[in-house]
This record gives sequence, C-alpha cells and structure tokens, in this order.
Amino acid sequence: MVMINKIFYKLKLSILLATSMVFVFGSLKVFATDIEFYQSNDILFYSPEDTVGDCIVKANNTDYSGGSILNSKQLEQLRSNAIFYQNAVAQPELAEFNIPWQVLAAIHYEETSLARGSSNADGPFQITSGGYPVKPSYTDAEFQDAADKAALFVKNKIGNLDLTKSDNIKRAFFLYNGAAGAYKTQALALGLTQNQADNGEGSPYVMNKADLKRDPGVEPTKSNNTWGQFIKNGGAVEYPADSSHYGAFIVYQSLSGLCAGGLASGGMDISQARDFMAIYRNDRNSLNYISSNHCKGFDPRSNCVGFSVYFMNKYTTIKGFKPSVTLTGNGVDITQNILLWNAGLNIVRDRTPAVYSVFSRDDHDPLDPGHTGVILGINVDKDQMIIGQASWCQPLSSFVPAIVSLKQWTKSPDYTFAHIEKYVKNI
Amino acid sequence: MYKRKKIITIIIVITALFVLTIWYFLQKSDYGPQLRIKNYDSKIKNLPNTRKQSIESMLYSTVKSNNADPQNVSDANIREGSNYQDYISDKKLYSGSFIVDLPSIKQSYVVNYKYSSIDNSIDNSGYPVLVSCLSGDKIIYSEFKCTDLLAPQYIDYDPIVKSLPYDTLKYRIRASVDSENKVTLIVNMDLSNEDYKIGREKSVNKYKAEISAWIVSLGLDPNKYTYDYIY
Repeated sequence: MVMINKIFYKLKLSILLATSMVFVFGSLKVFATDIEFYQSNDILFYSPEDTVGDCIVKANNTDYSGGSILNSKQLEQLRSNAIFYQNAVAQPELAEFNIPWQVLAAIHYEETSLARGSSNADGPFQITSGGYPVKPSYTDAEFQDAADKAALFVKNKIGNLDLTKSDNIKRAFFLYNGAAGAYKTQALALGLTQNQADNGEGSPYVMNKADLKRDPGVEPTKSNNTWGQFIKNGGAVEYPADSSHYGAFIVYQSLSGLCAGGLASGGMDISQARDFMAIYRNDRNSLNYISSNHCKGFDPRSNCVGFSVYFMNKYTTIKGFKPSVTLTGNGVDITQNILLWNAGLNIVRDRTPAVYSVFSRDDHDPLDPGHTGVILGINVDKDQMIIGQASWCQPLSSFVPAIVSLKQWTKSPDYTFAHIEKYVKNI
Repeated sequence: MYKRKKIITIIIVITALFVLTIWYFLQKSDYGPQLRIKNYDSKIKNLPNTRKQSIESMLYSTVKSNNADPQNVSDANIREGSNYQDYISDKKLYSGSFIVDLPSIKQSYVVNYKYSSIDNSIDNSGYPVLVSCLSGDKIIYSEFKCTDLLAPQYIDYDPIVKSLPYDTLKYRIRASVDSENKVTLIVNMDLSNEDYKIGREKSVNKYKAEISAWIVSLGLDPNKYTYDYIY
C-alpha cells in the first residue's frame, strides 16, 4: 500500500511538473516579443506639421516640396570648395561686413554650378570685368584669387547692408545679378510688396523654386506666365523660367543649416511600434496592399519587401509597386525602386534616416537579396531607431519591431533611405 | 472506498497524459510542413531549432515548386565538404551555407542562413534563410529547370538602372520605368549664368552629347532609351 502511495505521489508530481512546463513554455513566446526593457523609453511623437520659423528649406538640402536641392556631385564639390570661400570672406578688408561664406558658395552655384574653372574670361564667379584664366580646371591659387575677388565684389555691391538679416542676403544676391527691373515687376505682379520686390523676391536668380508660385516645374506656375526669366542676353523675359535650377537664397539657406532638420527624434515609441506591427500581422486585407508574389507555403506578409510595400501602399500616397504589374524587387532594391516607381516626385534617397523613411540594406553580395523595412521611430539622445520589418519565409509571430543603433546605421555604407515621409497619411 | 478513489485518479491521470500527448503532436509548427535533412544535427551547430524548421520548411516548399513531391523524399543529406559557418562575435551572429542533395529526385539546393542570439536582432530579419538553385560545377545530377522561391520577386531592370542616379555639376540623371520595363531617363539640367552666356540650346546640346558618351562608357546603347530633359 505504501508502495502504491509513493507511485501515486510521484505520478501527481510528474503531472504537476508537466503541466507547469506546458504553461511556462507556452508563455515564453509572449515574453520573447514583449521585452520589458524597451518599455522604459520616452521617444517623442512625430508631428508632420512641425515647422521651424519661416524657413523655406525644411531640412538639409530639401526644398519646400521635399525635393533635393543640390545633387551628390555638387555637395561633394561644395565640401572641397568651402575652404576657399571661407578664406575669401576672411580677408582683412571684409572684416566688418560679416559676409557668410555660404553667400559666396550660393553665388558660385548660380554663376558656374560650382565649377573650379571657366569657359570664358569672367571666371568661376562670372564677374564681367574679365581677365580670368579660360580653362576647365583652375589651380588652387587661381581659384582662391577668383573667390577673393568675388567676395570683394559682393562687398562693393552690398554697401552697409546687415547680412545677418535674411532680407538683406536676398538683396545681396539680387544686386550681384544686376537687380533687373523686370523681376521687380514680376514680384509686384505676384502680390509681393515693393520692399520684397527690391529684395529680389521676384528674381529666379534669387528665389527660383522657393515655393509653389515660384516653381516653374509645376502647375499652375508652369503654364500661367507669372514666373519667367531672361534666357538670352538682351532678350525679354521668357515663360516659364528654367525649372531645374534653384535660386541663390534657397541654396544659401540650405547650406547655412538655418533650418536644418538633420537627424531628428520623433515617430513611434516601442509600445506604439508593437501595436503598429500587430496591425500588419493581423490585417486581413493585407493582400490589397502587397504583391501576390511571396514565399510559397507562408503567409504573403512573410516578406520584408511585403512590409515596406504594405506601408507605402496603405499609409502613403506614393506607389509601392512597379506600375501595373505589382512586382517589387528584393529588399536591397526597394529604395532604388521607389525612385523608379515615383519618378515624377523627385523623392530623395540618401544615407540619412528619418522617421517613416524606407530603408534598403545592401550586403554587397550579388546573391544576397539584402533587407528592407521602415523607420518607425528615432530617439537621437538614446542613439536608437525603431525598425518595422518582416522577414522572408518566417512566421508572422516573429514580426516585431527591432531597436538598432542610430549612429551605426548612419555611418554604415550598407543602408540607403528613401524619403517618403512627406507622403505619409493616416498613421 | 480508498481503492476506488485511486482508480479514479489513475483514470484521470491517464486521460490527462493522453490529452497532453495528443495536444503535443497536434501542435502545428509555425513553419508548416518540412523536408527532413537526415544529417542536419551532426553537421549544423549553434542554430536554434526554429532555424532548422525554417530551413527544412523552405526546402519542402522549394522542392514542391520544382515539381517534385517532398513528402516522398526521405534521403536529403548535407553534402560532405559543402558546409561552412562564420561567427561575428559582437553581433553574436552565425552565418553559413551548405549544399543539400536529394538523390531520390536527383536535385540539389544551396542553403544560406543567418542567426543572431541577440533578441530581436536586425540580423535575424530580412532573409535569414534562403534555399536557392545550384549552379556551375556544384551540380552533380543532370540539370533541371530549377526555380527558387525568391525568383518571382526579382525584377530584371535595364542595367543602366544600377548606375543611377548619376550626378555631375551640370545635371542629374534618374530613371522611370513603365509596365513593359522600358526605361525613360529623366535628366535635370542645372544651367548656370555661364551656360546662358554661351546660349541655352548650345549648352544643352553639349550636355546631351556628354550623357550619350557616358552611356556608351557603360557598354550600353544610348539610342535605346527615351529621354526627358528638364531645364
């Protein structure tokens, strides 16, 4: 009898242990996706309505419509030219004028697209007194000399204008370009004041692509003959003005970092990101937003490309597919393909993450399809980014937000970001 | 009375064990049906069971998509000498590759995997497991029209797309594609005062010629593209 009792006791104990094990292991899945550590963060909320003062340039090198101002080659050239501009404005005779070096850089962009040479005798800053070497590539000494003369030319034009004021910077550009009366008339016709007209608000040289009414590449400005430019020397104003080139003040403001966005905290915190990913995992209508091409045997959402495309098609106004056929490409291709699918929007693709930008990772192996996902939140102070992502042929339950190092991703040559954030709706 | 109580307890225990056993075997794997690789456990180390399930599940689906019945395959084996594994300590990341042979259906595949033991590591995302078709001198059976699961997702764009955007001080070249994959090159010309002094059309023509020369330097034919010049 005692023996039977012992067996019963052991049996009861085994059942108790087995039952406990079932519950413990059953619960582990929950803990794995619910890390307490992340709950302590305090990531700020993103507000797309945030603006900085009266800045035209919303973020580094980005114009009013989200397009990039200078291209990669021009930015590279600016970095190597900067020391010459800085030397030029630091000449002793200019000490009291406080000419920002970015003024000289913007003029250089207007005159010869930042070239370190000239196809005529007017030099890189196109000062018509002539006498500059005519060759495609100046020596450092020749270019410094040209920059020095340009800085002195600016000083002579501005008189005693206080260049700490934006209006005076505009006026300096306008004066450099000759302050044509036709552009003052153009400003007045746009409803601007006489003072604004005198500052060059009506001149494409100063303000081209500053805003919709001065952007000759888009309607109605493209067709309504309100924003024109002198195309030929001695000719009349022609409509519309050329649409690829930015006004000097827009370039100046971008370079000055006065309105620089740079890396900014915002977006979702980890708790919100978890909820957001849960929507993806549980969305019965997901096939309305993602490609039918997917890992066979798995849910169509089991794909990193699936998540990025879902995000674009559900939460933005841009196209997350190749037109007509819903092909997507692999993770590594997505940021490039976003530009192809939305060529008319001039979407910026660079190496700087932003909240709600889409990333692609390139593992630099032709056989590796890389990765893609969406930046759901950034906390600069904590060096954290929250990533929304999915994975190829993996169970839906594994699609939870990841936290990565902002610094590591920004420094890495592996990541590119397509800046679709301005097209986000309904998050 | 006491004996009766024990008999009831025994019945309850046996029933509970039976239910638990049934429940255990009915648990559906997150990874769906799998094709077992016989020597996996002796060859592949440091990976969790979920990676094994992922590999064997993807192998199952890949075999199925290549017109064979994975349920009838029981001889999958990792090829001797094909297995390697790397480890990156700061990421606690194991990555590796091996070839799996399936003699009964005369097919082979290459498996690539990644696994980091850091919770929610980005390295576990994207394409942590890939089962791909074998190529070149690694093929030991006769070739078959192999397709892998990722193939339908791939878009074969014109090769110029890989070189874009292309920037110079005077222009940026981007591309758009239509539903037939036809590429239109969008060229934003950034004309400066110097260009207007030369004459706008003359300057534009000079840059058009430069762009043609650049495309030729890529080994491509500039005449096969449509251009949209914006200035």
